[in-house]
Amino acid sequence: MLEEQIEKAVRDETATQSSDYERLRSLLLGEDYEKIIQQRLTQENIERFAEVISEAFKLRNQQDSSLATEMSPVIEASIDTSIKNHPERITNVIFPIIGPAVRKAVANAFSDMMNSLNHLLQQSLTAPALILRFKAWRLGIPYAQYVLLQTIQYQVEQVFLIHRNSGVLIQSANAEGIKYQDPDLVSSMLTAITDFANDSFNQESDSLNVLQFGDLSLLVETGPHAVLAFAVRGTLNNEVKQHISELLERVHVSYAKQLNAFDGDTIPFEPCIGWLQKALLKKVKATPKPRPWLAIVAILLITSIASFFIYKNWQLKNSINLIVEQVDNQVGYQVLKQTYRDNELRLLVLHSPLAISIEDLKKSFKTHDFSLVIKEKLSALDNPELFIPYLAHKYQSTLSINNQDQTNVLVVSGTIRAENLAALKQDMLVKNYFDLALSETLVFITDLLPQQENRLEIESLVNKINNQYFYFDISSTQLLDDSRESLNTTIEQIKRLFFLEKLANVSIKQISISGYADSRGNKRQNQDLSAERAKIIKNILATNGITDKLIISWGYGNKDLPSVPSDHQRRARIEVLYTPNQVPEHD
Amino acid sequence: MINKKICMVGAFAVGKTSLVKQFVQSIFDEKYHTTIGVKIDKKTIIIDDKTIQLMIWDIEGVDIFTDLKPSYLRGASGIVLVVDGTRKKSLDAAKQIKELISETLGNVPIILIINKSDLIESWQFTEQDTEFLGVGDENTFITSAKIDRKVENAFEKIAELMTRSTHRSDSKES
Repeated sequence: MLEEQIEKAVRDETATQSSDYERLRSLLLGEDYEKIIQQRLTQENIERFAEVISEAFKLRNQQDSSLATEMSPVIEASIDTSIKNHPERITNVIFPIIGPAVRKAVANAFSDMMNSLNHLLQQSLTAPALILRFKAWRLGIPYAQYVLLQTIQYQVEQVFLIHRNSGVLIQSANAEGIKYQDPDLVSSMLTAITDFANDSFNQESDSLNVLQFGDLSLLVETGPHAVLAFAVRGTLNNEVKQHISELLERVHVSYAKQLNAFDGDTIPFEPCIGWLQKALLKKVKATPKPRPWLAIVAILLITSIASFFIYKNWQLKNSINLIVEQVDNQVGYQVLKQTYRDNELRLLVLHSPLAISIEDLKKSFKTHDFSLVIKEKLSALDNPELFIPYLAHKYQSTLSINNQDQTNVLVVSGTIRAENLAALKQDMLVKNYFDLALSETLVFITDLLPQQENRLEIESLVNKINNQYFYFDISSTQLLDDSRESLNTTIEQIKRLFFLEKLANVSIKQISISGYADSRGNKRQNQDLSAERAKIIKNILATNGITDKLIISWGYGNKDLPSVPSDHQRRARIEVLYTPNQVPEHD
Repeated sequence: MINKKICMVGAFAVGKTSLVKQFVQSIFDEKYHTTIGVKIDKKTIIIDDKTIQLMIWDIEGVDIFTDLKPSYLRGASGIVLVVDGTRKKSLDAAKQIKELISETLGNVPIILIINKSDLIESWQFTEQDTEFLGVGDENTFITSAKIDRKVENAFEKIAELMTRSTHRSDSKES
């Protein structure tokens, strides 16, 4: 309680004292005092604020960018006012900036144009250009398009973010599989080279843009605080140039504070490695689609192997056929059967004992690819049926055997060529073993020149007829039995002649019959007898339906030398005269 | 990791390149090769548990034909000023360089190396004669690149000064 009282007393006393002071002050100084106090306080505040304003701006700027946002309308308005009021001042300020900027832009454009022109000339006149032209031609695309494909190829191999002032490497990224230099040293050396170039040529405001070693270019973009460098292999193009500019701007916007306060610590910049890695651009040239050479070679190989075997097979067949034909054509040989198996040609033949021996025949053939076996078919000659398939094949006709009175009659039926029939009749096998008969239904196949075939047959028939003699008994007009039969055959032949006459376009002019007598009796008797003999033949022919208009008969008496046997002197002979027609039938 | 740029500066043939070679590669070459322009090496050291990568810019020596190009110094966090104990004239060059550094870089950490201590009997000046450069005894090193004496100590010292100056500026800002 006591304490509280004391405290209250002290408070009251102080209040009393201060109010006393105030009263004294107002008595001494009046109203002016308050004004002076106010004035003094404001002045002090302004001075104090002026002392710290720049530090305050700096501090706030480091914290965030709100100050810039807040100030920008004010600054813009003041710039507007300034330009309106004093346009000449802004012109003076901008002039030294615009000049170099324009010059730089023009110089860049000009340098790019020169580079393209130089490149174009190189591409047109050098050996590589000719190779390119050849490649373009081979790919079937225009040269310009191919060159474009070649020139736009590039790869960004390394990206460096460098602190501009110290040349210290902030971050870097490398493309995979690329052999690269120590990025720390590269960035420092790059800064040193830039410094050297700037010092040497007094180009303070400019910076080095491109360094080139062979096909590797170092593209450098300089910002206020940092430098970006791209190591690019291949040809630089606008895509890369644009990318480097954009990336540098982005780094400056996002890391402005860190760049400003950079003291060698690279850790704050680690998040931007992703950006640098994305900047490792790569444009692969379009490679032409390779031709499927392997497949082509394989197909060619298979085709040639197949062709080789086909050719071999064809050759083998050819030589087999040749041998079979030669054996078959050999006199006294007939091939019955041929088989080819396991590089062995087996021939089954009929072989006449009089013909060349099988061994000798084999020696005449030279076979490299296969062995030849010729085997003789032993068959009983009284079984002529065995010959039928051979004969049918050889003369391309339908043959059959008709057994009559122990003689084998070979019946030809179906169709047959006239020359084959003629040859069949002459075939030794047929002559020896068969009598030949033609079926009533037999059809002859004639060629385009049937006349010639028919004429050949006429010729053959006339030969036979003209060479046939008919013999008589002594002092008689009686024909011997054999001759009687021969005359029957001849009559058939003459009938055939008349049948063929028109077909062959010939005219039978005359059938002349001559009679002869032996040396017995007197000359007159012989003359009469010989004439009788000829007339007899003439009568027989007429009896058999051969027109007697063409037939003449003569008796020659005895004309032969004594050395001719007398039974051969008693004879008669038929001669047929024919001539081809002068105007051939149109065929 | 912290990257720091340091510059080796001094008159020609004082042994800047040899010091760097000894420090980075532990090699000394008797032959003299003059440096043209700048040669850059790097070495990583650990100071106070911090890894620091030193980018050492070995700048061409100063003589009557070659001035120090200030652009090479830009952004340097530390300077190694080298003089040759056997040549008094290298001190004059060092003085000029020191002034240029103050102009371009301001108050940057700096150490002085008096090189060629293996030839100490033919020295033309002593440590005391370098006081006018204002580097301070604690930042002055007597070294020999040839027999590798105190070379590493000198580089460690400049690295230490650089990291401390960073800390100081950090603390000042905050």
